[in-house]
Amino acid sequence: MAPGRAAPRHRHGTSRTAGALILCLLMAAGAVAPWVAPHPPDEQDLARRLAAPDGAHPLGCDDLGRDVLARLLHGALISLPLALLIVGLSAGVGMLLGGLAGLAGGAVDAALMATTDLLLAFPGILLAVAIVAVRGPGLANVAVALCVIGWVGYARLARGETLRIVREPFIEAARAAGAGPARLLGRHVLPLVSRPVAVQAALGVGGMVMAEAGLSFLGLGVPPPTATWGGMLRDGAQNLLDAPRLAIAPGALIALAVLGAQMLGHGLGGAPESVGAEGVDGATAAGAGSGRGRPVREGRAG
Amino acid sequence: MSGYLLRRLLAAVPLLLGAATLVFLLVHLVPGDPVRLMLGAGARDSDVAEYRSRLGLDRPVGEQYLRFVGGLIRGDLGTSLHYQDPVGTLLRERLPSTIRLAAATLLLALLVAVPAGLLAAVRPGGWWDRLSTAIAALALSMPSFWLGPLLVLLFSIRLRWLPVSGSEAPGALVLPAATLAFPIAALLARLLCVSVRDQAAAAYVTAARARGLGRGSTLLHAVRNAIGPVVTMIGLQTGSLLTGAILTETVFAWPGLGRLLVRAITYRDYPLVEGCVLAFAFIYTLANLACDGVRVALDPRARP
Repeated sequence: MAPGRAAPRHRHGTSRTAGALILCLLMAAGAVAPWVAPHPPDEQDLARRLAAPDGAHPLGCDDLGRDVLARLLHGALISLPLALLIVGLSAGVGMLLGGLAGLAGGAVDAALMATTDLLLAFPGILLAVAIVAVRGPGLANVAVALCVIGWVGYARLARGETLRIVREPFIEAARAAGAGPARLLGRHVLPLVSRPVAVQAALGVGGMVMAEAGLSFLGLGVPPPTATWGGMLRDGAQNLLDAPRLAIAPGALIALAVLGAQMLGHGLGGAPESVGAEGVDGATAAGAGSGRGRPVREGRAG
Repeated sequence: MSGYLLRRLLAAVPLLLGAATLVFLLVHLVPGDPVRLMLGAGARDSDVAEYRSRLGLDRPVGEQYLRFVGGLIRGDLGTSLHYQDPVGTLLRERLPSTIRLAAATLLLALLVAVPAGLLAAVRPGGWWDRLSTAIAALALSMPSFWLGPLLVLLFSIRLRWLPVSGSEAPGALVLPAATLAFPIAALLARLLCVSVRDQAAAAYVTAARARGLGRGSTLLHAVRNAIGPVVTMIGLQTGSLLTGAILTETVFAWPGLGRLLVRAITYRDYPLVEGCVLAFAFIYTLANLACDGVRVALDPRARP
């Protein structure tokens, strides 16, 4: 038995590049969807219901005779940008609140920790399910619900990093030089906290893709007829016997997006100047599955 | 040990009360009218008013909250609007199915994860280590609501070995448990592997080898000390088990709490939604407490 060995640096680079490439390709596919999709995504042709792939419809048609390829491409236009938006908002808010709490300490810190503990009492996407159930399905409600549960992991990570950073001599020096809390936070703490948060955010993108797809699968996501991968998977699962490809294709794209985000996150986390690999590994599993982008405290929901 | 668990249990009480308050606020104070959403946009105002009265939503919020908390303490979670049965009764009926599925999932995950993780730990960089890493990445990328239908397609539709859905037929537990267990097994196997390797690099293992202990004996030492993080992760994975159950029970028509929640949402049955969400939060918190207890029993140093 040999002691643990860190993965070689070039492997992290390869993982980072491959992950970024996968996500960029999927984003690009969504961006060009209106021009390259062979048909409009909502165009129904009941005569072609569950039609097999042919020249006009390379991936066939769904149970309403809509072109599957067009809907997959347009699905990328919703699923990935939505996940990026939610992760961006959650990471920004979480980093700011966590940094503030870590720097301020006392009651502010206690209040943040109590809030995060409360939100963490709800496993995975359960609270998001409850929020959308009460507010009703829709793009805005899904984004709000996933942001409500999403910021927690980033806030706890940012708080932990801030508590570590504020003990460093350069912070004391900055304080001695007259830097106020805002300057300390903006100029000295957040730039250092942003790196581990970025790693976790990269991992969190996959989790959010999975969470949004999960909500859509339950009928709580973006309502039809808008094409989303989760919604397509739900419809496809109803026709598993007649046309399994309807479930296989959108699920494969969800898995690919999550894998891409995992690889990117691992690649970023494994870079020599970043946070320790153990923390990143914990966040991988958490972020990828649960959509909560939290280190170790949470598991996957998808 | 029992004092530690009692303290943790007491600390969980305000947390669970906070969780219940959050769920209450969600249903009662979120902008938008849940009753209008429940009855549809075309509902008559008189019907909306009657439903508001039945749910007690026409009372002052403070009074609603006190009634809600009082009901919780008495174990009264209200009456389901759709089933017309007490929410507590419905939860008690469905809970055993969810627990059965969760127990089978954990058992299956451990049966796979322990040998897979140990094999990978024994030969770092070997073919099994690399293969299991790749499988783990794949497992953590596959949504359960995709893996489930794929397994149904292969084992139920093509091979006809197992039932497509339900819980009555023999073997009905296999596919839902396998769907939920796949990512958990992957995660636990990787964690065990990393944890054992870390322990194997510790000074006490080197000292044990220097004293002449064999490879198998030192591995046993390392495994015993490596098990702590795995137990903690099992506790955390109850979260994914529970929320995974919402999706997996839907895929396999498994009559558990997850499917009950989805039905409650479909029927806009808010007392039942409240009850299900709270039941999940309670089970999750208690499962984590139980795992903390196991971890402290295994390694007293884990006690804060």
